[in-house]
Amino acid sequence: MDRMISSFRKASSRVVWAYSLCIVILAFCSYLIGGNVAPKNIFIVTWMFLCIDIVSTVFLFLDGNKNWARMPFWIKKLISMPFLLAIAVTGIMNFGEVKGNLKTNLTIVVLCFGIGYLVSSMIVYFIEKKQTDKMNDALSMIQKEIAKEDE
Amino acid sequence: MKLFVKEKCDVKETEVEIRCRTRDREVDDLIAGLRSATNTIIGEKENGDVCQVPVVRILYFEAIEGRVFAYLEQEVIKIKSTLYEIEDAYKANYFVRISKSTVVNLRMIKNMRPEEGRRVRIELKNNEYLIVSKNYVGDLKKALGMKEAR
Repeated sequence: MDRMISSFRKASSRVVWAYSLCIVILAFCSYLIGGNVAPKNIFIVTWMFLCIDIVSTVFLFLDGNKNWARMPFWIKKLISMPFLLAIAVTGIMNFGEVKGNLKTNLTIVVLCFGIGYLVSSMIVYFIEKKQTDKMNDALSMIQKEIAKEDE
Repeated sequence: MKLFVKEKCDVKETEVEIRCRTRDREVDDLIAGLRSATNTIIGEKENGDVCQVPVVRILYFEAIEGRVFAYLEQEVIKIKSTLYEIEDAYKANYFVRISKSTVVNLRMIKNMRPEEGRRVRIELKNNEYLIVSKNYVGDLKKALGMKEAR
């Protein structure tokens, strides 16, 4: 239970930050367009981030599991993708005036999500890879030193 | 060869001094014997046999329900010391604590990579995986020389 609470706190701290940013962007866009943001849209955005928070909590909780932690990066990303895709599609499809256009063009939403998700995952992957290479370089250096000492 | 053992209360660490006319084969063997005696650990096999194992052959130590086990490539032996004592005794021998219950031999790590939640996944030379808890990642990095020791 403690682990679940700590996962929820960790997920919420990230999601609240993204939610606030999204609201600011929404307000800025509506200011540029010159229209008002409908309360329904605010509700949809809130609902979307609430769902993302729940999904993130579950995956952060799973990270505490040895078997899950041992899974390759891309498999984990592939498992979490459908959940986030479902949230994004249902959210965007119900979003105000865009509703009509996007319903007819569901593929665009899926494609945009897919590209966005792939790019963000690749960025995370390359950052992790850089760290991995750094660690393994340090490991091989120390192992050479140990081998010399052992001899 | 003469052997003297002198007990002194004020000595903090056991010292061995070899006095010889020249450093010959006998002296070298003696040094090698002393070195191997300090770098071995006594444990108990599954069948109850007592064995002495060089620490360099140990992959990692793990504490399970108050008992400490040393994992070798082919076998597991039970150790009488606590994990804390092992960590202390073999720190200079490139053993690092990676979680509450595990101390790993740096020689036996094949590769490692960061995991989500600021943890590190270690693959050992026998293809076994270990997870470094986030609280011990700093210690591991220090041992690898990636982080300055305080």
